[in-house]
Amino acid sequence: MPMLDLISSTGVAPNDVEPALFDAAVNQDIDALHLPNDADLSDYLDALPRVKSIFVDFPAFTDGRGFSLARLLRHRHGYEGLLVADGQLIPDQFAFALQCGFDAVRVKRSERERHTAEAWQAALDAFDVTYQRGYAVKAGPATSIFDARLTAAEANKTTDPFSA
Amino acid sequence: MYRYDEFDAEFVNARVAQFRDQVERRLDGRLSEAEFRPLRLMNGLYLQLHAYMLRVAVPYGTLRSEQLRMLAHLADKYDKGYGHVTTRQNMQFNWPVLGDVPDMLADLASVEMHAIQTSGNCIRNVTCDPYAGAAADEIEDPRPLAELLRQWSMLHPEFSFLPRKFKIAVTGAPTHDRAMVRAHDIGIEVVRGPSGEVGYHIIVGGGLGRTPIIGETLRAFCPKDELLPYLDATMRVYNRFGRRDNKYKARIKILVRETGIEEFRFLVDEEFKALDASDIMVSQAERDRIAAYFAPPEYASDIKALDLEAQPEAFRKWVETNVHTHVQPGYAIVNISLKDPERAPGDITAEQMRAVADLADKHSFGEIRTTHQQNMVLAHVRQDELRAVWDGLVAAQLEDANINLIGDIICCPGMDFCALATARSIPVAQKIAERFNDHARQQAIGEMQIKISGCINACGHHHVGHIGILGLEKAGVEFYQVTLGGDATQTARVGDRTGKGLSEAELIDGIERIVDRYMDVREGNERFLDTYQRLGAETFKEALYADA
Ligand code: SF4
Repeated sequence: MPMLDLISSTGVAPNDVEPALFDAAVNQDIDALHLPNDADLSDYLDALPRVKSIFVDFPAFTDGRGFSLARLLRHRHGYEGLLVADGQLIPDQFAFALQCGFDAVRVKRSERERHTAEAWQAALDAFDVTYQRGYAVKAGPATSIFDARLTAAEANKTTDPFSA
Repeated sequence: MYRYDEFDAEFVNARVAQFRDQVERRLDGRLSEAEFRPLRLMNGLYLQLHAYMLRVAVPYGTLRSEQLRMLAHLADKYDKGYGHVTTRQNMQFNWPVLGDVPDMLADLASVEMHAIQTSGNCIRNVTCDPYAGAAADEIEDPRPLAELLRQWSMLHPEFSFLPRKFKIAVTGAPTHDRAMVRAHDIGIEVVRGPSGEVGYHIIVGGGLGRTPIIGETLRAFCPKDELLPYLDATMRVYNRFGRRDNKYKARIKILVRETGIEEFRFLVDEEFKALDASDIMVSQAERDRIAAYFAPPEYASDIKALDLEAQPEAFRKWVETNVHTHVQPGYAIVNISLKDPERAPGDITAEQMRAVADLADKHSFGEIRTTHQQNMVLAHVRQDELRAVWDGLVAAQLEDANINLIGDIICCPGMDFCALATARSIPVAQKIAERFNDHARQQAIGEMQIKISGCINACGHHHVGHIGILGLEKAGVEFYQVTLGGDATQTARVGDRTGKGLSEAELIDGIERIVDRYMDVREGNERFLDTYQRLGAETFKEALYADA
């Protein structure tokens, strides 16, 4: 197994967890679940409360299915455990991953190093704003432009007699 | 026209900086070519036969004069002095150097422009009826909707790595579709609902390419505030279930066809019901804010009637073919033909761009449109200034009077530029234009849309041309396949294949025989398309192959 690193907005940590394939017959806690990106989530719903972390497979960085799975797990199914985008991601997708609901990405150490630490960090700082309202991460890479406009409009409506 | 606020400006500037960084990382090797490719494509940068090509977004085909002047500047400074209007209303530059591209993007950002999502497997630049806001037949100006879609789709975190490219077109005039909404992944028509309220008819799964399919109704009436959540639901179904095993089967049209429209609609509806719409939808106040930018200009009321009789014949002909009715009395919509037979269809020089920008400033509220037919439009011209506009166009050699006539050919770049081409397309367009150069003859033939693609990818929309031409190749020899009876409007239809391919010389003669046959058999004011529908393919096939 190659050396793997988990990259989140707070930093990098080695991570060699081997997420397990789902077995519906075994009714016990799951520490780390491997989720293929063509998974039918309805098979997993009963087990979700018992899952501590989910590693969504990214077999190629051009395959964006995992982004939709993260969105569904977080927003529709209320999953609150650790959510990791696992596989072939590049820094330029890091912010997207967090916006869709991932806590971190996990890539081969050699890949992380090839892209350099600066590139991973810069990816998070690239945009302070995003147009997609529901994908804004308050503490993270982007606030919603639509919400920011609303706030600015409200601020303009101030009743302060000194602001003309 | 829409103006960026501080947030739009911040976003686009951040995008320029990001791309500069990506180019640096590519040049120093941190990004492999495989990794860089989708990133540069998402910024409109292609690698073509001879060089890079930068495709600049012209959102819904609308430009301010200073933006067109900036495009002229780019053409002069980074290209060979001209640009090319594409069938998706964008402007392409065929000769930039990679290292210059970040500077080009910075120049564009200074006039609120960008090249974001003009290619790649993401939601592409949204296209629109070029007569939007000026047409007498529209229910509502579709540009505020198009602008909202531009913003919603910009660097979408979930939908930037789709199975394949995704094209959206909108029109406010469902009775006269000038935006080809049925030939797009999603087409949106502004319509009236049961109680007269304005909403959207959503069409899905249209597209040309190898497998031409006319789109079907996904939702007959979508209330305005539900649009973004409903599109999110549609995109999610596509992102999850669209095929990724075969690039030629990855468009949403194949998913819709393989799933069946009923089942596809069911999947979207389930998704739509389950998602939190309030999370995605945009407030009425925000929609009003955007719409305010597209309020009608301040029309004058002191316009003198135009005495055509007193005008030169060339001007009268131009008025007849290139000028279209405007919703406001006294005004007119002016089409500027970029179909000079000497040039590639859609090409425009930097000098001509400046001339058009000046005319727009003087006569059309400083605004210009590009069209999917690869022409330009001045949308709001006083009728008593039409002569001045024409004089300006004559001086700039842009006075071709051939809009919607046989000389107004849509054509992809083909073998002259495109790495995927199997045959040349531009020279064929030029030869046809030359053959029918006589204006009186063009006028007599009437409305006729010839569309040419240089390979099966169909960027020249040949499937929906009244006469469609597809360039192919076998054992190093180019040949051309003809389709007849295609239609790109609200009565959209894929043309019928005629039979075996023809050499270029046979093709030009064959087209002329088809046209002559039509002239012989047409009744009254029938367009070619009407005659074709009345008589069927046989007689025209016979004419096409009469020599073979
Ligand atoms: S139709 Fe083919 S040749 Fe023409 S631009 Fe498209 S890919 Fe290139």
